[in-house]
Amino acid sequence: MARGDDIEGALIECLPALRRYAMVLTRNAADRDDLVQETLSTAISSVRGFDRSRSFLPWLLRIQHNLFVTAWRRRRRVLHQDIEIAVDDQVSRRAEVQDVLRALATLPEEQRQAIALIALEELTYAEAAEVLGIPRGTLMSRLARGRQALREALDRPVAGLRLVNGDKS
Amino acid sequence: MTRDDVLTPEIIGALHDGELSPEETSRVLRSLLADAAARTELEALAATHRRLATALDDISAPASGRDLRLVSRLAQRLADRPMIARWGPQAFAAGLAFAGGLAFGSFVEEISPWAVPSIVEEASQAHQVFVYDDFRPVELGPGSAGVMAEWFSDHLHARMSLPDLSGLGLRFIGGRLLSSEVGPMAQLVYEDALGIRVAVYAAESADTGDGEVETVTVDDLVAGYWRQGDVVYTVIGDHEWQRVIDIATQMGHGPVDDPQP
Repeated sequence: MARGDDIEGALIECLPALRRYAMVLTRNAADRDDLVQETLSTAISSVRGFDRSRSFLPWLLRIQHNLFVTAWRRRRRVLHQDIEIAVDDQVSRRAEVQDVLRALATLPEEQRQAIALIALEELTYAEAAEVLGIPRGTLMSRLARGRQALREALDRPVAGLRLVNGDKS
Repeated sequence: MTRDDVLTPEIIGALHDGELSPEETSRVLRSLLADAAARTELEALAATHRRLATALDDISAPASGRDLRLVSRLAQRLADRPMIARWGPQAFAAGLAFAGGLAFGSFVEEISPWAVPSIVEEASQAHQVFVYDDFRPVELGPGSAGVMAEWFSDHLHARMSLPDLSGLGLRFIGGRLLSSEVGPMAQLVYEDALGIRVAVYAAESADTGDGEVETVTVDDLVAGYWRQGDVVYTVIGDHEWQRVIDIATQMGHGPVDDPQP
């Protein structure tokens, strides 16, 4: 297999993680798709900044995270205090998914990001700390607080939530 | 040591995530054996983790055709990306020829390619890692110039001032301190109006005194370096011999005349 094919295969394996983390960041399926594509476009123009001794996933997640935090979010609608969670039809059929998304959405953004990188993407603490641009100790604190808050949120109904079905208006 | 010291929520989380060393793991497991509440906490954490992972595994959804096309382009760019070259005669000869074409032949001292200081090689590697980073090319911005000068001076054991290259159309965007084989190395990044970046590196020199500027190429980067007092400076840019020479000139090492017979 050519080297380019190896690289492409490794990058394709990163896509589900990129899409999950984008969903956690944007909380919206359409915006998730846009953010993932913008992440890949930015990576194409930032190839020189990639250290080949590292894995692709932390590099791409870091680009995605920084895009969201520094630029992308400002161009998008401001999330309402009354949290909206958009899920597609396939996902909406599953009450469990909705419950988890609702609970996750109640967490402060910094805790949600930390949990997503560790629990969903199984990054090491060092990789997740690099993606978020924070020290390892700060990551551990955010994780601990976030996990506690998530557990509490999953154990009780959350007020002020409104489920929308992909409607971004 | 109390339970609160050993079995903090952070430590229990790190145990679950496999982030503790073998020694730490043994210690925490021993503590867990004697602490039912902490065990319950760990089990609850694991259950939440499983619930979260299972539920959110569904939200990734299949990648789109556009995702895959972008991935393909990215893979191609990564495959084409040149590795950092070793310093070699070919690259060196090309550099000399190029510089000679600019009528600065006498400015470039002919040296053995194997005599290139490791600090220059390390600077080129740091250059490729940091300077092209879109998000955080520098650690401290231009507003911290005074702090940087003091920081660098302390570590390089030489009085450092940050070069003002605005006369060459280069805006200072910041810098950072790096480690190198010979000790601390300062990296100062500049950018022109088109966003093209060039960087100046400074490290403590093993020798003292001033030396002539020497130039080399490494892949698509060009570098000029020289010794000035107790410091060895390196300038690195993209295909920009003239700019490297201009910067060296600005910093006090202009072209030298041919030695008279």
